[in-house]
Amino acid sequence: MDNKKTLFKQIATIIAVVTFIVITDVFIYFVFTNRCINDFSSQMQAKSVEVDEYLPFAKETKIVKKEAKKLEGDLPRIDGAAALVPVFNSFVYSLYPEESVKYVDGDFTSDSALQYHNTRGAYQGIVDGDVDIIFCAGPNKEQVQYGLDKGIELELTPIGREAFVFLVNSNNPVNNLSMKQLKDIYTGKITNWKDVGGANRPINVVQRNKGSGSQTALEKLIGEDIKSNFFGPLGASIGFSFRFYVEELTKHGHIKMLELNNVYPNKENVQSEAYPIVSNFYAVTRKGETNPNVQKVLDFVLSPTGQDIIEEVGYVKK
Amino acid sequence: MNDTLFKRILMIIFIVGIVSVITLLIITVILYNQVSMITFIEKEVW
Repeated sequence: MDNKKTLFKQIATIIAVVTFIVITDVFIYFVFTNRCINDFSSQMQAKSVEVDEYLPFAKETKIVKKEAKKLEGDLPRIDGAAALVPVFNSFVYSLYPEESVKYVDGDFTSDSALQYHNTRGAYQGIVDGDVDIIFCAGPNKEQVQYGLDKGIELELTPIGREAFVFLVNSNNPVNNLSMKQLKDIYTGKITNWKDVGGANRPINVVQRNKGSGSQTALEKLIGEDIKSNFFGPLGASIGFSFRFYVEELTKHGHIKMLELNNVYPNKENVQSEAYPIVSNFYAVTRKGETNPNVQKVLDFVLSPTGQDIIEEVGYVKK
Repeated sequence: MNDTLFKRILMIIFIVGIVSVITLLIITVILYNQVSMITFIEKEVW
């Protein structure tokens, strides 16, 4: 009888330990690991946008098609940010001969006039001389310094405007933040959503890689060191991006953009500048560029046709 | 089952359990460094 009792206790102990371990693993998976698994392909994740859908000369493409006089001679090589792919690919359609764009096996070939390396790669490319015009948000200090170290000064031509937006999960009850609350969140003075009228959960300040367009915009906006809450990953997140990228390129249903000072970041509020954070985006070139086609591209971008492309893609023109 | 066997089984389960938790945490940290911000916010548990 005693033996049976002991055996029962031993088996119960083993089952209890196994159950505890399984519950711990399942908890970690569903609360943490699962959130970190991308819904996108690895290629899209690396590049943030499905370039295939915006190829200038593909039969099925989402770009805006406007006819213009094609460039001849030394064609400037173009690159830029993920969020601006639909814009600069539309410019390429208008100005470049079809044979100048070569896209093979999901990437542009090295001799293609159109390239795509996202903001960080584009800034490096224009300084290194790999590309001649890039379409991006403004550079950060390191990107400017990288150019100066190599004797390259960058020239920024504003070509359009966009709202810098803040994102939360659609289940988060908070819909609006004041600018002061926003700065307090990013400087670590507010660390819980209940302090801004939300649930009693820590605020998880999510950031992007240094050098990305939106991370640079955030650093410029906050103006001091951004602080992350240690318990943030256990709470609810706040992220950031540009309006068009969120609305048009990602089309996700489980996130929402926050109002700032009670103004929602829609196109009308960007145009009227009622929304408090509206940034320029730029055509960036090297100062002293001698290729006359570079100026021709800039002239086209700033012309009524170029500005119509920006508007029709979904951005706000200059 | 005798006491020694029981302790051995328990020890093996315990080690396997600790290894599985640590592995999962390492995988999570690796994935966290690659995840899109939007996906991360979308999949938040509410």
